Amino acid sequence: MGALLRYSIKKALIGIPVVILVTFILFLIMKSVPADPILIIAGDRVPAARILELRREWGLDKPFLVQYFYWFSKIMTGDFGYSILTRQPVSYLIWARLPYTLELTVPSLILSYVLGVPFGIIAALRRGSARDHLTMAVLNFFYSMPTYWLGLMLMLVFGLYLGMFPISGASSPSSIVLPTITLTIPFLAYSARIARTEMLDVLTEDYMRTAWAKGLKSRVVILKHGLRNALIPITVLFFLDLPWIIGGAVIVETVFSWPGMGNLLYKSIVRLDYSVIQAIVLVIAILIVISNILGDIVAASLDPRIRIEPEKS
Amino acid sequence: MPNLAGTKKTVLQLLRYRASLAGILIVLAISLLALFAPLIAPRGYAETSTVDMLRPPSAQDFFGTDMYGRDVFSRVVYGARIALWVGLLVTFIEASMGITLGLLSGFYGGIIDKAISAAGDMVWAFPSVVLALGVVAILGAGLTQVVVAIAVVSWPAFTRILRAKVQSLVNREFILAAKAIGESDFSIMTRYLLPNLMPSILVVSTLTLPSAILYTTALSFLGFGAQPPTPDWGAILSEGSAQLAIAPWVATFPGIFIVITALGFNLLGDGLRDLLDPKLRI
Repeated sequence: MGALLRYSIKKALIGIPVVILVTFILFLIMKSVPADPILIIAGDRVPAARILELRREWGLDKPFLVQYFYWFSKIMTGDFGYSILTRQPVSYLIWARLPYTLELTVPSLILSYVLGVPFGIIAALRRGSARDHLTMAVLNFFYSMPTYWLGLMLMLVFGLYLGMFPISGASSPSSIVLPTITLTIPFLAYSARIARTEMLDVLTEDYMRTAWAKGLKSRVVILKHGLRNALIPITVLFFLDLPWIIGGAVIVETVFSWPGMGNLLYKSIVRLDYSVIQAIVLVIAILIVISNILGDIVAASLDPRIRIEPEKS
Repeated sequence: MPNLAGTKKTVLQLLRYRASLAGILIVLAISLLALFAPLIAPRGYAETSTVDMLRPPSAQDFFGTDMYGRDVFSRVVYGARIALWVGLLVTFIEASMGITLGLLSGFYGGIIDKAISAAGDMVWAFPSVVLALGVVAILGAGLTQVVVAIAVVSWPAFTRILRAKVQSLVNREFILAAKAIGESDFSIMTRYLLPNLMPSILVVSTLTLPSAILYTTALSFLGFGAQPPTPDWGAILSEGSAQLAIAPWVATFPGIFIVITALGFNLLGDGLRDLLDPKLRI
């Protein structure tokens, strides 16, 4: 385990400069946005002298890098400033909503893999059969479906017509059912597609032919030689997909008025609440870096070649 | 170099696959719908009426009417124009970026490849919807801005695939031969590599188009894309979502058309991939 531990620490340490780089790019982008925060706060009836004063007070007259370091040292302590809209601290807004987003995305991600991967594997094993074609057709249909439309249709049928689940908000425990289904279905289709491709790839490998030629039972060949190898890239993709599902959450949360970060991001963009946008994007970036590191570590623990071999140039 | 016999064989094989055939028919039908929209649509897409508001679907107005009394069928038919146009535009931009960057990256390798790949990885890691929303927050709402935003966030997919293809070709003998006879880099890229990339480019483009349509309609649904009264499918859906309880047809029909269109291109793209480039990962 020594090599794996070393590898993991190395990967985790690389994450730190990446996050710092992200904060810098984020600051750069936010500075290049045409909207002037002082003018937004002050309005146009404040005299020019007072605006200059405000600029000095907020440190906005300092050079770019000084401003960046000032901002960076503040966000390191969790201080993202205040929402222009609600006047609440941004960190408070995010902490209040992050659990809702995780409550929605993590089960969706797990469900979509647990249900999708077997579909893909079975389709790959029965390649060219009617079952493969049917599975692929259904998956293609799900894959082509816009999430927000699926959400509205589920809302219509199960919420409005059948009255089985609440259609918006998060006031009752069953509120999460429809958003979770909506978020899961396209990802299920996606993970099944990936699983099918990876499995098909493995099935044509030389070691598979060897396994068959040795006269092993087909169950052993498929499960031990095939599936085990196909599961490595599939597992890694599970971690790499976390950010994608957050993107899906923005739409699903907005459709169902689910009080998560995605919904907050949507509202903040509509109202140009930059400090909130900035903070959410940073939180997402950190989640991505973490899930990438986890993906790398899991890949290394499943596949010894990765942790022993130096990275390919 | 077009190979007519080969092309004919490809088309015949494609037709044999029922899924691909369904894809071709759908793409054809939607294209015809877009092309002949003024002839097919019984009314103008922005024609309002104060007496025909929120009428359910009937033999007279197939898809019902919306809260302004506009004919939803006519709006959906005109919407096909926007969907296809935007899809083609985004795909064209992405393909141009992907081909250029993929060739540079795969052919030269080294620092150029590192820089392009690093930039691509960074954009790729970020959820496209969030990134596109960010771009729209900076550029403002509108269909053009959405097209730019989606192209800006989705180019790495195209670039990655072509880069890998170029890398697999660049040490082949015909490229070495081209170098040996003194062909310029530009000539090697455009006259030797590019023709060999064409099958992959066709497959990736066909599969990029539906996702471009899904993204633009999503942003329009959120209110950042096409502005009223543009009959963008996402925008119609968005208007319909407000009256879901009393007039569900307004949100239902554009959604069905988005699914059918995306499905058509995905089926066609999958079929093309199986034929032209079965090992392609997309």
